Amino acid sequence: MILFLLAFIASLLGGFASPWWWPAIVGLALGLWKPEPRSVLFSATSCGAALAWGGVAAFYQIGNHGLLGGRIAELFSLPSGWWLVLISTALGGVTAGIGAEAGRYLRLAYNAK
Amino acid sequence: MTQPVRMAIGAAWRLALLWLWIGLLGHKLGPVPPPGKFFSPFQGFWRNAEIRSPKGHDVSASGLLNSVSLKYDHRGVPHVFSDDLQGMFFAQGYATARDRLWQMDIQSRAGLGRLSEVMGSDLLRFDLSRRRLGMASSAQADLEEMQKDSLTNVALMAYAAGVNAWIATLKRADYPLEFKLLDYAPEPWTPLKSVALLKNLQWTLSKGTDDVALTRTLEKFGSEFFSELFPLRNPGAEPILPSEIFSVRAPFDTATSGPLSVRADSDPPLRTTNDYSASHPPPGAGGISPFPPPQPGSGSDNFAIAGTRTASGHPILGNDPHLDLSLPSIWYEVQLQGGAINGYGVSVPGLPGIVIGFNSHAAWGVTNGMDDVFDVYKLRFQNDSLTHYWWNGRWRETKFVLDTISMRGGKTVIDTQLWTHLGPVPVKSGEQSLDANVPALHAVQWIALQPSNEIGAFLRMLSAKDYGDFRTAIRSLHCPSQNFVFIDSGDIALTHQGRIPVKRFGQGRTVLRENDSDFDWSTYIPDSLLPSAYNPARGWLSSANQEVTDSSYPYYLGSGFYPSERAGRLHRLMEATNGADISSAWEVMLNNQSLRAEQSLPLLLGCMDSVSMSPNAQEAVKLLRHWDGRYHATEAEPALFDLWWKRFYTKVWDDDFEGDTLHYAWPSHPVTRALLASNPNSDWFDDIRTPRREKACDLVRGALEEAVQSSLQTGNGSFTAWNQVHPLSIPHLLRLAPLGTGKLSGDGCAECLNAQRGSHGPSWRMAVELGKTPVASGGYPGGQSGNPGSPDYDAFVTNWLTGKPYRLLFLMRPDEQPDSIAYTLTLKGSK
Repeated sequence: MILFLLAFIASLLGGFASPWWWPAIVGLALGLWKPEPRSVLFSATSCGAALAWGGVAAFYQIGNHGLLGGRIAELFSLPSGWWLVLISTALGGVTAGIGAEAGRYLRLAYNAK
Repeated sequence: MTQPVRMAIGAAWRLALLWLWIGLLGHKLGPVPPPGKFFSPFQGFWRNAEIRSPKGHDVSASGLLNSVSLKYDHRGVPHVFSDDLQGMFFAQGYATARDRLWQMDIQSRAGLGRLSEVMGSDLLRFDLSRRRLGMASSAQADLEEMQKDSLTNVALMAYAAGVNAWIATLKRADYPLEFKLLDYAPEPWTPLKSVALLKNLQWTLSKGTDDVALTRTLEKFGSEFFSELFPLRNPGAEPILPSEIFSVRAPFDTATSGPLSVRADSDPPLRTTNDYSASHPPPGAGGISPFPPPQPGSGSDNFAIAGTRTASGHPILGNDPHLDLSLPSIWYEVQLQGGAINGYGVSVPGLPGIVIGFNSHAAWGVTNGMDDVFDVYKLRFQNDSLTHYWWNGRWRETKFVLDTISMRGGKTVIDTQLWTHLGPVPVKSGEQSLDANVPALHAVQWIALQPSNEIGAFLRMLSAKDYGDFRTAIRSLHCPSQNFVFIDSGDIALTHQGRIPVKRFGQGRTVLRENDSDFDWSTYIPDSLLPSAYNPARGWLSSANQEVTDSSYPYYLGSGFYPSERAGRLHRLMEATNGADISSAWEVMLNNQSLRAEQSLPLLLGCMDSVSMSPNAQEAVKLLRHWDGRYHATEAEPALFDLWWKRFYTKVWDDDFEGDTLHYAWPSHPVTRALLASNPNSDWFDDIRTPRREKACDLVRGALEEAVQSSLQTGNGSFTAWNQVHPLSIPHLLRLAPLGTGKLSGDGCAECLNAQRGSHGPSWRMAVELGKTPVASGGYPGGQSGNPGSPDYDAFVTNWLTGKPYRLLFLMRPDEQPDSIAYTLTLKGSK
């Protein structure tokens, strides 16, 4: 739970001031820090980051009444802006998850010395 | 393998995967923007989804001397209030960039031939076409000319500083959507970029020519055919300034004895009654790549009604420039108050000043002048190295200029431009043509390539108090030539303004082969002799891109004027005007009655008396006999007439030109109508592909049956409505369909005053009455915001489509704070 919360909070707070791949740094740091089984680490960090990305995307989708989401969705031949919310959610989650996996292996490699 | 090594390899592999993931999602994948950047809700497109209305605040602006207020009204129009001109133009730049930065950037890149820098090698040919035509180099020369004028220099510098002050506030997440779609960043604005936007205007409005297509037509059919079917003046032309009003002398000009005193013998040789191009066959134009020929556009309308014809006794002005429509919109509405200036109107995003608008004393509007200021010369080069060309009986040296084009991805192209004393040679031998109108090894002489200060005119018009001021202000406008209508509180005027070379009648209509200085441009029509009228007795003035003068004017202006279809309708409405007010002036611009239909339909119907027809054709004729010629979107009659006339027109010429509209210029619609009216048994109506000899009515009847079939097919068994064969739309500048309006339905037609045609049409309707305070209505297809994620992006489209005007808010004083002001932005000066 702590991993999930940290991934969510760090992805959210750092997101506005960092490059798009910030969730990878968040995942990497959590993977380095907390020894957890791969499935727990990956799912907690990616879900936390995904919620941050998806939540912010949904905030804009709702606040903008789907105006821009609808236009961009059409550009990608998708039926609605909510599909873009899903894409943003998935990208944030996968980026954090890959980062966490790399962090976990770095920690394992360090510990195996 | 030991455990540590296995772990190290595992870590390295996963780090590599992470690096690849970030790299892959951080770069464009073909046309797809970088997915990581683009879909990030913190940096990407989501940040352009506007979720709240802007609020007033103070901004510290670097480069601004004194503080400036920008009062935004509920339509998003900024009303700029500044103590000085520097602050006023600074704020105009800031406000325009705040709403339209990407549009400004991409359009200035287009003007300078720099699109491939951000859009890749696909745009290289476009860039080359602009650069080889000399647009980038002439923008620099124009800028140097403009910087000699202190007002223009102040405006350009302050405007650029204002744009840059806005750019300085932007983080990546704040970039306009299109920067994110195309994955590049805004660069600092410069005065040169403003001039590049002017070059775009000149390209759009003064380069249109069908020299090459006319040349081929003349070659194929000969001089007799050409003279008969391609007259210098459109049949039935109703000139803007016929001799009975052109003789009215303007009070400001005492240096000459008035336009009527112009005599051919006091000027360079120019007056012949024959068409020069028909009597001097041009050089071969074979081997030129086919391009779609220029189509007669639907042009623009403007008019001025004198106080004698208005309810209030004050003059009223109307203007409706018809252009290729786009989102973000062509125009940006603004009020500018600074120093002695207080003006309102529309500006071109990226250019300081106002192009069409009004102030407390005067109002002005434009239509395109349509003069022939773009000539093409076939040159003879000494050899394949192209170092010398033949001119005036000797070989002259060609100038070679190296040009570097940097493309996206780091590739650089070094191009060699060829220049003659006439102008550039845009296409070398063996190259694919870059332009339908400029074959290989032909030189171009174009007035836009001569240094001038058009921006100075846009600035000085703002402070004009009377017609004398106005004429002085527009004097620096050389290209594109314009028909300016003008009113002040008691006067009306119309001026045809531009720098127009003195030529033989018809000279330069087709490709010129004469290689001597007689055909060079050496003299220009003096400003004082340009056509103009001031307070004509008839009490109105108008223009719609038709012939400027009648045949009494001694100078040749060109032959590409639009047929007097809109102009004729406008004349009839003006003549009938009595007790006009701003609402009735607005209605003039919405008029959907076609003069083409009024003049052509009786001729078509005349062929249908007592002849056998299919039942559907009978029904169509019945409908059309009762039609008033108004183009309403949901009615069948406009579609039936349009299909019928166009089928007939095609049938007349299709056999002679073998259906080739790409290579040849076809006779115009008015010429075809005149032939139908005057000589229905003419050989031109015979279809040379059939053994029988057809007359005009045979083609008319065949065309009706085809039109009826086509209409029924589109309408699924009933006659189709006009909006089904004539859909409207406003596309995004990148032609990305979801960012445009999609299909729209509206009244109007290309030949109507409400000149809706596809994605071309009324770009800014404005009606102004000048009493004690100006009263004005306006509207354009778009919205103040250039952001597709803002409700203000296309907020005006519905009103535009239905013809509903907005009352324009003109504030007389900075302390006025009406309810219609939504918020105020204050730019804090650094002094």
